[in-house]
Amino acid sequence: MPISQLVRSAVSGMVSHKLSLDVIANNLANVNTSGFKASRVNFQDVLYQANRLATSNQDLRIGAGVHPVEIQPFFTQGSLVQTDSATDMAIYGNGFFRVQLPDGQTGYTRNGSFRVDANGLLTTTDGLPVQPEIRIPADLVSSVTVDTSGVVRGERTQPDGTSRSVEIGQLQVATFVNPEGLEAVGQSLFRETANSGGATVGLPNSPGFGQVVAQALEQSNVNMADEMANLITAQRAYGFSLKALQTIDEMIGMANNIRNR
Amino acid sequence: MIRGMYAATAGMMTMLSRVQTISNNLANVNTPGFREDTLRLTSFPQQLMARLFSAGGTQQIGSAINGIVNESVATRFTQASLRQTDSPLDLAINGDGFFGVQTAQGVRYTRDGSFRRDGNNQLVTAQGDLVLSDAGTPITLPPGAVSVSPEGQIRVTALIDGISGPIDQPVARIGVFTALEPGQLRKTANNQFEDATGLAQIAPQPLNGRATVHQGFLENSNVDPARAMSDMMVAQRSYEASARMLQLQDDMTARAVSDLGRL
Repeated sequence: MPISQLVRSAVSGMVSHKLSLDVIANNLANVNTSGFKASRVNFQDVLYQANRLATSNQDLRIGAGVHPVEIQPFFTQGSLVQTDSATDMAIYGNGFFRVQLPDGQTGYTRNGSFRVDANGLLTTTDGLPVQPEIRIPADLVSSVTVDTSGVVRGERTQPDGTSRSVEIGQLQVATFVNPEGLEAVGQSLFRETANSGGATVGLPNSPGFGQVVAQALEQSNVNMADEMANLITAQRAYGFSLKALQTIDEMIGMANNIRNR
Repeated sequence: MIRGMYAATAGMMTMLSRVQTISNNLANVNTPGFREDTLRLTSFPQQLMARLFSAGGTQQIGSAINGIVNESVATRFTQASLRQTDSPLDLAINGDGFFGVQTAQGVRYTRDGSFRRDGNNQLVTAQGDLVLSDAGTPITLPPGAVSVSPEGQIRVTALIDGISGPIDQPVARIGVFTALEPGQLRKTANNQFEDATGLAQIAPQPLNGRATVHQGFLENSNVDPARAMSDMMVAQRSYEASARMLQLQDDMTARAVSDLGRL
């Protein structure tokens, strides 16, 4: 049995559980990031080499360790917290806000901490415009409200001193058949992939789409207790593989030293 | 003398294989639905020993065994504990049986129920292999909230229109496949098993209390790390003993060659 084959399963265990530790650390780091979704690493065992036995015509199938098959985000609802900003909003239920990425493509996010830029456009904190474009006239910025169906309104003062509600725009949300298939691109943004399926765009609070909650932000859905338990498990698993590697190393060392006296 | 060297080497080789098996088990201590392997060893065929040049010609003096050899890898199919994940498409079987998945190489069986929808609304594994129903067909999930009963009945609750409220409809029953005997299953990879006999006798069976399906749970690996660590220590020491034997016999051979020649 070649040495590379001997150490491979132990090393694969260390590499995989290290990745698990990285993902858990990232989840824990984002425990206060609004719109953040926790991820987990899914593991699978690796191809079993069929070592043909000399003494029988049976195969001896010894596994070659473990490999991470994917990092899977979980789109469970995070809790909503009230804020003071009129342009903060959260989705309660299914769906993502749509924003225009710098490369012109559409990104999707659950982080609705929006602001109004110099041109009156509703954008993310990074300045990415919300899709479809919502342009808020300067005199309405201070009085913006959003209802559960995503209609953005403002109060315009009339010449006679009374104020009248004016519709500024309509927010849209997008849903996916398999949101877990979305690709995370940072800044709480996701891109659609073949795995996620195409986006279905609709109005908030219509069948199949969540509602918009104004002056609120969705908290991270990271569960601190779960992550701590996962951290311990991953750390121990790493330790087991490390121990296996040390043992194999010592054994190979013994073989090496048989004539070394 | 040389025969003893071969026996010691055989001991070292088998113990390396045993440690590799244990190392693979330990690497998969967090792999959902993983089943532990044990390496079975057997002694080399016995050999009748005879003494030459005795008074009555050749005289048989008994038999000796010339070391140890790998026999087979056996998989332990015991139930592992279930871990709560709260993800609606994580399923675990408590009891007998396997989920069936359609792969490019044919039907495979798995205890890893970390499923998801693919872009076509079908229930798939992490690899994208289709999960099979009790009728042996792929399962299509319409958009909506999925619920799975302990009997494996999948239902989807969805708002069809804005008027009538959520409607709950049965979609399919997940297939729980049972092998006639555990030895029929052979590991491939990706947490999957294949039918080693090639007879396709592994079919979905009605659960009838033999097993229950749990939604929002994953089955852990059934590797017991404490036992694996102690098995590894035993194997390492056994390897060390064989290495010492080899060393000793090397020394004795050296003495025989150099010292005897000096007489």
